[in-house]
Amino acid sequence: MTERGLLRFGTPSGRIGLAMFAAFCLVALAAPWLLPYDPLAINYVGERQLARLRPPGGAFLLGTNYYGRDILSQILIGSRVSIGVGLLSALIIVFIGTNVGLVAGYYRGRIDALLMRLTDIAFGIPFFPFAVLLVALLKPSIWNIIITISCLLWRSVARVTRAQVLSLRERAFVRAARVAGASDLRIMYVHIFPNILPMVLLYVAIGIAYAVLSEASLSFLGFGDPQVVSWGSMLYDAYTTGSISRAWWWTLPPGLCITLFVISVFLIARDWELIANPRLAT
Amino acid sequence: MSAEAGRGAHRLAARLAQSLLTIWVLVTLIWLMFRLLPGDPTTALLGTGQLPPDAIQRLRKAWALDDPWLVQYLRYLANLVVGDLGLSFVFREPVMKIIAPALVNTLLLMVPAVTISVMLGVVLGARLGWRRGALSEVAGNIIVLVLRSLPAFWIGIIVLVIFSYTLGWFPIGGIRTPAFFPETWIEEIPGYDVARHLVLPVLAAVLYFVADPLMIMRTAMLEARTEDFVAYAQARGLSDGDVMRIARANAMLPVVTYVGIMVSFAFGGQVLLEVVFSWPGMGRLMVNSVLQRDYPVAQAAFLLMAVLVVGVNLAVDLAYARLDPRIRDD
Amino acid sequence: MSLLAIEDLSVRYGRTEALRAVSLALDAGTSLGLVGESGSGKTTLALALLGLLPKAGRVTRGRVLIDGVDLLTLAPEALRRRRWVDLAYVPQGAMNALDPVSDLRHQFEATQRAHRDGNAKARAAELFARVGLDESWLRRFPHEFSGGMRQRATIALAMLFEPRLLVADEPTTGLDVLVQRQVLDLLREARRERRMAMLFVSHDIAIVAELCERMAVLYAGELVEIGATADVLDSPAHPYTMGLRRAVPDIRFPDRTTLSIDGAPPSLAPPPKACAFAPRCPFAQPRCHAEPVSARVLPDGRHVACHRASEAAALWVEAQAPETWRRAG
Repeated sequence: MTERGLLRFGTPSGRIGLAMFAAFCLVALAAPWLLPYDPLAINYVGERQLARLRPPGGAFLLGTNYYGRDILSQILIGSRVSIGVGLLSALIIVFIGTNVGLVAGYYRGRIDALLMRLTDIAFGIPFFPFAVLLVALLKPSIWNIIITISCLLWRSVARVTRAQVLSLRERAFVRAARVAGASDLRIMYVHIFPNILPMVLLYVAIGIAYAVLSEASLSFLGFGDPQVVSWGSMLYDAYTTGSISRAWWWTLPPGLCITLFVISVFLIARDWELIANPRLAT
Repeated sequence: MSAEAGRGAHRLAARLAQSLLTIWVLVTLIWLMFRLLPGDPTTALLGTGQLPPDAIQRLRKAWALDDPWLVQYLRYLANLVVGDLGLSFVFREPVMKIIAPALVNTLLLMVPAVTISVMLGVVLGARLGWRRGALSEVAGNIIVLVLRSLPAFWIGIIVLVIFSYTLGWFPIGGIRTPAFFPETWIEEIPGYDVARHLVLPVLAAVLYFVADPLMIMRTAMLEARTEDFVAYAQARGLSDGDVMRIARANAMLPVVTYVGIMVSFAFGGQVLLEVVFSWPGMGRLMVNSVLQRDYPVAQAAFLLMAVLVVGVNLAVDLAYARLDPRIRDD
Repeated sequence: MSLLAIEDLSVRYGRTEALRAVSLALDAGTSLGLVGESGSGKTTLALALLGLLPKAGRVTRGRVLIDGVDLLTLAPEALRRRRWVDLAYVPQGAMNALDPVSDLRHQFEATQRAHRDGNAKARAAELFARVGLDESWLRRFPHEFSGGMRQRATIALAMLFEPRLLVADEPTTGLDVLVQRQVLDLLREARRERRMAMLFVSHDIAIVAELCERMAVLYAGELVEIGATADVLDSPAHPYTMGLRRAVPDIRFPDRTTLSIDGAPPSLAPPPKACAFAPRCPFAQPRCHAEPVSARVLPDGRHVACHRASEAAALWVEAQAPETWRRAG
């Protein structure tokens, strides 16, 4: 239906967003080969002086942090975690939400009531405080962060998908399929799903944005995986070493990266929103 | 009871029941989480090597940690209903005593922040949605986009760095200046010190919260512009300001609905901002107590926040029914 | 000088010319019915006159004169002040013209405050009484009113400043027959009491026949015939009007079958160069397809936009027969 339209970015802002997003992803993929230094290596100037909190310039393009680590290298390698967690979480969120919405909207009745009750409860739980509790009680690791982020945020996707499925199931093509003897599963996934695809993809984009922000926030609080570097954990280090006021080169880049990446995703989302809901174009 | 009042009461009862159900699920979920996860109250003590094993056993008995789960659960529920939130592991004080001031501090920050952001969002969003000038549209879009993409804690950090560290206009964090002696008559006004500490966190919070109501209001306003009653108001010779106010009153309803959702997300931002500004509220309390394995406090802080969210959502539902005359008589 | 004079008005939506060089005049105290099918431009005309064209609509030519003052070139504040005082509007029955979130009293007061000082409460109650609505309804909200009551409320609101010109855009569409009757009676009474001029837009010829002294017929954005209602209906001069007449049952000829005109109005993007009705006209000649039409004046004062206007009487006789309409263009 509109699959082709999704790649044909209508607005200049959408194209900019796509370009930024692609740039970030490429850098994240290529990061291990781009690193000027080992991100966790403690660097020295000369023989014995720790390269602590050196401003940008010279050997260190973005300067060094409190522990003498190269900030540019940390940014590069941190992109993998921040972006990767964002993408994976978004996929899981949409996977869960779409299926819940499809099943609830298609079968209706008691299954719908049960699933929607579950969704309502998910809505009733404040996301970030719950995420803090959960991730703190689990062992700190990337996978636990992904699970934590995904376990509640599927709720909006479920609601929206269900609403769409409820109206789509009454359409002629669904009835025709049923009369032709198609199984429920087939109707749901082969007939109905392609029609909700634009909306689903829109929520993938939104999900990436929220997941990236959530991971950064959790890492900032110190609940990140201690063995990896992410943009959020860089800010955790900056804050806890009392360096945010002294080292703008440490404070700004991680925050800017997060913001720019999320902006790029929102720009893409806005274009897709115009496709899923053409009325907004006026 | 008239038919209308009867229906209203019925609706109220249904919403109340749903809210209570949600709270019960939350309570149970949290209790299960804490039970299922590794470590119990004695682990912290054991870890420090302070107590011999038989002392641990006696403590476990005293704290009834070996009772069957169902019994523990029911006792927990009973205590909650009565308002007994248990004892803090770290402070050895009743949790209630620790949480109450934190609750006040959180509200002190959140209530002004949410109120200002909603009002600002409504006014600015209405203006942006009404004037179709290309410049204001582009500017509005950019502002909203950037505000939604900034991490809450980073907003706080930037605000701190600019207004506190660099300009020195406001204190760096906390809620009070230790040993504060008022010198000028302004400083003698009660609450002055707290107010000074409140400014930056509220500024950061407003920046964080305002984007969504603004956007929703703007979209609602754009739709309201095309409604028949706007053209009719213009036909009647109402001034542009009057017509805009009519459109705005109609466009506000989606924003009011949103406030309920907003408060839920607001607590997320609240937690982060309290940490950045060292504001002694429930958010920071929860984070610190979790890090210290002080589970009763963490649990209670979370539950309190969740209950507040449920309460606000309920209030918003009821308020919406009053605001939209069409639903009121439904 | 006429109260209302529309001169050569043309309106365009993007590439579509919805209204093409329409001219008409309305004297104080008289009524003019504007008929045409959907898409003929009659609502566009009403909206252009009121200055309420949607964003996409643009007036490309022409003037709208009230007492000699061109509304289209007035400064916004000057236009605003004339609104409702000189020129009021009764919207379509099905529309949601009233603000859903404020009660009728507020809507009266807002209108009053926009133009005059003083309290509208007493006046609103009086107007409501005139249209048969109890004063207590002023405190209610629009959604509580039935369709007919809503129309009566908007008529009451329109009378607030006793305007000299009322534009009614399909005010009875969507209402049931009994309620239609009430609304029409109200409008007639209001006109008579205040010597109010009225421009009544409708696709229902029967209503226009009853209510209006003069009638104008719009087709594809053009005014094809305008004159006294009795003349236009009893002996239509434009083939389209003839077709319309034969499409409406006439109580004087209960056994006569009604006819329809084959085909559909032409696209207006871009508009036809010659006569727009020619493709469907049973009397079309070669020049109808080639030369643009200008309005002719008939002896009885009617304006007709037809090349064969002088033969109108003979053509009307022919138009009575069903066979005439089976051959198109």
